[in-house]
Amino acid sequence: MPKDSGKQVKSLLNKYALVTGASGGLGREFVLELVERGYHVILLARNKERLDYFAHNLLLMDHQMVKTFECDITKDDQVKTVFDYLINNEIKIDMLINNAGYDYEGWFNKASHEDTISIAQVNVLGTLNMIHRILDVKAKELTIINVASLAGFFPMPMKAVYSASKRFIIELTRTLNYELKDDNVHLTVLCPAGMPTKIEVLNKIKALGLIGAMTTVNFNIVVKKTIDKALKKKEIYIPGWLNVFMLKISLLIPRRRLVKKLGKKWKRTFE
Amino acid sequence: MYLKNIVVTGTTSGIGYAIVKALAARGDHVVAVTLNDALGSKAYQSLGSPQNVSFVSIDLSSNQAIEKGSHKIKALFSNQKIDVLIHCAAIVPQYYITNEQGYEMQFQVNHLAIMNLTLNLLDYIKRAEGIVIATSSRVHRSATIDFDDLMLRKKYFLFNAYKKSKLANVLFAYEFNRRYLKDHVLAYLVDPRLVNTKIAETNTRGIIRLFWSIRRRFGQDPNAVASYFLQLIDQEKNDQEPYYYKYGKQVEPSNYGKDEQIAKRFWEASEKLIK
Repeated sequence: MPKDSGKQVKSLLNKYALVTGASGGLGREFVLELVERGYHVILLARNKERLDYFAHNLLLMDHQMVKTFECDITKDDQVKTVFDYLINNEIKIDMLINNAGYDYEGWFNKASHEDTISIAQVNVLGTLNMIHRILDVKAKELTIINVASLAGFFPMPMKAVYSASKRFIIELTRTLNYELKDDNVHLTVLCPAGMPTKIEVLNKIKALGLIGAMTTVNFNIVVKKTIDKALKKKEIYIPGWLNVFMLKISLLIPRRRLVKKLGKKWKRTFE
Repeated sequence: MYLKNIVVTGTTSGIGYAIVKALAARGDHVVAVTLNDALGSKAYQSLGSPQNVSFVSIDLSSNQAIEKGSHKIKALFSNQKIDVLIHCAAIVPQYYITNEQGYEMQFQVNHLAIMNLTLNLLDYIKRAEGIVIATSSRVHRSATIDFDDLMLRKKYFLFNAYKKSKLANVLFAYEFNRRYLKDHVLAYLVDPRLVNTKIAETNTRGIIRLFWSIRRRFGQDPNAVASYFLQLIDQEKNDQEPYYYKYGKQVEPSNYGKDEQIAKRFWEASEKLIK
């Protein structure tokens, strides 16, 4: 598909990026940014129709590749299909974006069994599966971006399993940066606070009041900066200076007191 | 003056709603478009459930939905003609939001949706030798199109996105006329100036929301503004430039908006996006 003739023709990088959860709001933005930077992109999502609808009209350079896969990262047979394709076509991945994730807000004992378990299955096991398998198809240098959340730094009432699952990813990122350094693998974990990707989410943020307002960032900028920082080997990226500040302050508060404070605040927005 | 087949978007509230209200009283056959059935039935009931008005739900943020929705609209006109298509729908979200194709919301709803819906209904409009009216704004005068970044992915500010989308309306209408005047159809732009609607309140918060909630009270009542649209419906088709109307009179839009090269390039870029 020819590009708009006015756009500066950026050269093809001849590098490959793989994005999970590529048809969600954040995933799409990662894909748009990678395509603009000249990456070939391999896209995974559970709903192939939705993914193909997004991908069919991407503005690509000549010879720039987009490949879509229907893949639930919690189902290893589907994941294996993707990796078999990469191996058979001798594709080496330069960037992996673990964006697929699941969230459910509410009291732990009020959620369905499936919703509760799914959060851990996708966010923890699915992500882990991707990170472990990607090492088989990595290029000489591999950048991994893990999409976590600022919630991963706190024991978050109403988001108990979600915040714990993101904590897993944050700690894993830190440790693997040490263990995989000699393999030229570098991991970056993205920890945003409020980041509206849909109109419905925008309305939720309105409900959070002034703090919600000041901690909200636009995700187009976050995506760009995340990739830039990942390529510069930054380990943790928290968008929004106020969020960084609040995190630092919270480290001074004893954890039990913190859980109670967060619980009071989140209960308000829920009831 | 005969009763006409008229399609209006943005009819949940504001200018679109006021236009439907005025047309319902006259007896024209109106199809009103809202985001979903709940909003549609609410509007229909508050209009008094008029017989000559039907509500259709189309999510204008989805190009797929627009194509499907255009069939629903066409099915409501048994003589297969649409005399008038009026675009009032717009969105102004405070944050960068994208649709399922990754298109920024204002670019999609305030511009691409207009182009997409118009082109999908064009055969019916041609049959009636009808008109298309888009709602533009004075703010288009300070806007330009950045072809390297059509959707403000590098930096989003709601007012910039709005300005550019209103400029897009001007470019669209002028290029539409360059291409289709020969088929006896015509596009107009109406600049209603400041109107008391919640356009910048529904999807904003904090200071911006407060600012708009105060500013809009200095604006005109949408029911008064509806008359500018009705005037264009009732008058003889006037294919003389400028196609831009303010307070019922023709005024020139910005030179940028009238530029032929830019309009052509912008049309072609937009057309690729709505495929």
